[in-house]
Amino acid sequence: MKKHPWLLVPAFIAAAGLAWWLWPAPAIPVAIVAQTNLRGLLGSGEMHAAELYLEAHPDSRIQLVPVHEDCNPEETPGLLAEVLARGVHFLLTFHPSKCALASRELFAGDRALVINAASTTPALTGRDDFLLRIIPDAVQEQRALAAFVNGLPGRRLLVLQDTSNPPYTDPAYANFAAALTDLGPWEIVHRKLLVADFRPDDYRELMAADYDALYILAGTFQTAIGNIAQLFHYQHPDAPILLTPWARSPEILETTGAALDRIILPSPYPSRRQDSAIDDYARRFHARFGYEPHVLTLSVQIGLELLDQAFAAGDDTPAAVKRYLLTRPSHQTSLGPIRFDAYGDVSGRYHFIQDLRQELQ
Amino acid sequence: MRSPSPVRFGRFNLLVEVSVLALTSGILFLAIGFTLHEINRRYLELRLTDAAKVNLFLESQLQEARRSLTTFADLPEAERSPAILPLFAAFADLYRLDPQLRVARVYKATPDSKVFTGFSFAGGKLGTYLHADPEGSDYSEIMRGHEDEAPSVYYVAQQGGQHFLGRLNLDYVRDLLAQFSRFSGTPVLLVARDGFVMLVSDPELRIPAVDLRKWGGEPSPDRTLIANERAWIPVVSGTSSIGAHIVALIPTELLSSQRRALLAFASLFTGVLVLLVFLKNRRLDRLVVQPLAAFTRKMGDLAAGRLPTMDDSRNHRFMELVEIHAGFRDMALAIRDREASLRESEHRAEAANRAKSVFLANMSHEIRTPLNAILGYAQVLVRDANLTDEQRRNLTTIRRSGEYLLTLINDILDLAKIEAGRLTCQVGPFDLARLLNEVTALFAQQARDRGLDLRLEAGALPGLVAGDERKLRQVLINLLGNALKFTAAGEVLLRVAATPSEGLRFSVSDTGPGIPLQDQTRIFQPFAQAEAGRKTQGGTGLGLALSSQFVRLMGGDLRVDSTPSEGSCFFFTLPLPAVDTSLPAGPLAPAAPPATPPIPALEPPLEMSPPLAHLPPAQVLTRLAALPPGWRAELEQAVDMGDFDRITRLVDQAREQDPVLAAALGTWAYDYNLEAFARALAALGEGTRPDADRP
Repeated sequence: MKKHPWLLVPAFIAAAGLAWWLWPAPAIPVAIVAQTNLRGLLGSGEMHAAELYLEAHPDSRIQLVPVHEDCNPEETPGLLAEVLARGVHFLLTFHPSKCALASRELFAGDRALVINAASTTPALTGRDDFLLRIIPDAVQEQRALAAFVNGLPGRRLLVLQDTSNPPYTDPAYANFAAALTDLGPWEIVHRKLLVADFRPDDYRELMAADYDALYILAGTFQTAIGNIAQLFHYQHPDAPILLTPWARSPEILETTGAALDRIILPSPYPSRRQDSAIDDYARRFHARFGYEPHVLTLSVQIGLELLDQAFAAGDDTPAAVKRYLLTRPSHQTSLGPIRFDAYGDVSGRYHFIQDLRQELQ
Repeated sequence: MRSPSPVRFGRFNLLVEVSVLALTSGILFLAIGFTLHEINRRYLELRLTDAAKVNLFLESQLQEARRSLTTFADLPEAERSPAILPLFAAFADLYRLDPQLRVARVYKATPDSKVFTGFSFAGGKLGTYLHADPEGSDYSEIMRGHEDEAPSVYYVAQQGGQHFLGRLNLDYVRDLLAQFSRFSGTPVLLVARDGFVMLVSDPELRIPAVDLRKWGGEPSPDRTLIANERAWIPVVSGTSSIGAHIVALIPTELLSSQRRALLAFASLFTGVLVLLVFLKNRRLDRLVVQPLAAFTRKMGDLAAGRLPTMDDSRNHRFMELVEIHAGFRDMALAIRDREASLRESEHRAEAANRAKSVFLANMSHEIRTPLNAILGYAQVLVRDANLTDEQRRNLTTIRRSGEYLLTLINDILDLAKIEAGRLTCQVGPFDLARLLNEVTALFAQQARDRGLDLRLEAGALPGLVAGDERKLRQVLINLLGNALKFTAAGEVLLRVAATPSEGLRFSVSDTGPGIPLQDQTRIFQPFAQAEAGRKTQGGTGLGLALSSQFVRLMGGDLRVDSTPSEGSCFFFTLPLPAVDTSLPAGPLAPAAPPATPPIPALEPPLEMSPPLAHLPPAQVLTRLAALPPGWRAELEQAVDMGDFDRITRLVDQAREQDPVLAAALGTWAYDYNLEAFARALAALGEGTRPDADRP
């Protein structure tokens, strides 16, 4: 080396390259914003799903930042602003539409990118912002539901609309009713109620009337959906009962008791029996945490996989990740492909799961 | 075994102490860590034991409720009236179930209950319990009640083929947990088997679920759970009969404060140790290392010949240093005395040497004066045509012996001058080729007489070079003379060649007997001869020593390369720069070549040497004219007669008027060659300049 001091230059470059190669990429904080005031699987399930993901992907650059919220439209924007102020630029949110609408201005620019898995309000559709959704909006959802109902035998449908989340349930009912009216001769009996305050005696008489089916348009996850279904089932043992996709939760389904056999659950994801990947994930989740995953846990897996794919491609800013996600025609995940449109919305078909007793096992 | 490299004592001592300190600190921190771990473990076990007492309370409550429901089931249906229901206050709800596990009758219901007649309990955990335990021998797991989502435990009793189901709303346990929490200072959670939090003592605590697989092991301060922006150590009890776990959340602040206190103590302890080590080393440095360093410096002074000043030994703190100080002082004094003695001896030796040199010079002068007379008269007498052959041979013998004696005296004088540092180079321009030819010609006849082949090989040499011609001539004569003297057959070769470094390499090689290796350095010592020289050839042993000194004075190094029985080669290289002959004559202009080859010069005594011993002939002529009339004629007559006493007297007379001229004349006179002296005087007398034909 004394004879050839110029060899120090390539040696230094090689050492620097090796150090750069061996040096781990910095972790990227990703907030998991979950609603934990509902006393149940919701909230915990999302956190557990995120933990399960990182346990299965130890090399991921994602650093979890758990954020507990109560989904109060007046408080959620402030809470999320605090999260952004802590240097978190990527969020995975599961709050209902009312909270997503209240905080959407935070994600109008490229300060942070949020992947939402639960806010289906059409008010978020077609907006060029940094809020991407990995579930179809309520319009697609309710049209699919209407088409399914139209295929059921009967003509008289009782629709109980939850008033806890109007940004979702109002347009959802409007789209459902319009689509069903267009499709067939169904008579809709529409009643609003606050699902969480369900009192059986208040609805016994209503449900005693003649219906061929019940559609519980619940605004969010609530176990009382099962109680309502049971009351209807008690009066109409053979009538089908439709729920929203958000009822894909063991706690709700287990509360339905004998009505479980009449429950029809629309879902953006196939049944466990139809999709081995979802079945495998559900088994892993159950083996790890001791309970069955709900619909949002699947979304956690998909959302984190999308972010990890972008990070692995070297995109680690909100703008770069958005560009990565929206410019590719399709993203393959372990639970199925995701296709974003130019505004970060997705479209897809719905599955109507009827054998829920097997789904829960 | 390789010996270790020496290190500074202070650095070594510091390294050892730092190592010991690091080891001590490590042991201390390990001990603290172990102690902390044990304290924490015991503390957490105690908290877990305390928390498990909640389970005992629950168990007693459940046993009471169980007996109560059995009593209720044993009652006739008619007696299960609202009037007696207050007796079964443990249950928030009481039902009779049909075989399909649907509610057949509601005896007691929570206000705003979402359970109604016909409600099916066939699903979920409760359905599993009812299907698996129709005898009512145990409780359901804790779960959210279907009535109001409150944490609940169900108990079923069977009587007469009918199932009676009671629900215990465990919300009241929250108060117990809150009390326990206030008592223990830690939040307590009641957690279902699947990890969901059923009850929490602090409603502000946001923990919806506890990962029992993750936190169910041995609690440790290193494994913390973050909730409400605080770190907690979850302590999880075993499962109870209702599948519930009591989870106590130990705030890490308590253990952290303990850890901080102990670590602060350890750090302070270590810091004080470091400070003490620093102070101790500083003092050690001042009291031991610095005195040792001072001793080292003084020893260096002593080695350099400077006698160190010795400070007071009372300045030293340690007896060992005092003893070293005293010993060193005694040693320094002894060395000083010996040095003084040596210096005195040296002075005496130098004085003796100077006396010897003066003596030699005087002696050579005193010897040369009669010797010049002997040689002069020998020359005069040998010219007498009336001499017989035998008389002529005898005179020739006298003359040659005198010449040999004169050469020996000159060598001794030169050697004395070298030892006295008085011999210098007389640099001037001279014709090297001519010098080489003359030197070779000197020995041509001798070589022929001995049947030897004497050759000169000289390449392209510069015409004029700057150097000390006389010394170079003397060296070459000595070397060629030796070569001819020691070579019985073969050849003697003088070779001169230019070297790349603008020097000239001279070598004299012969095919003589060679010089043994052990003699090759000794022969350059004065009065030293090789074995062959001593045995066969005689000689003074001064020639090579003088040649070596002359070559060194001229900037070279005389060396020998010899192989016994093959021959020897003496060689040296001298810087003899070429002189540009196109330049006008100046201080370096070549002197006039002598009319006859000069013979070895015997210089006047040292104390008689004028600054300009050799004058140009023109100046000599001018200076001679300035002398008294008749002085020159008398000198020429004395020279013709070989009367060295008169010559010496006349030169001494001239010295009084013109010392420079006297010195120049003395040079000729002391050359004892009266013929040359006469020719020179004749030439001067004719006004002829010897170098008139040269530029």
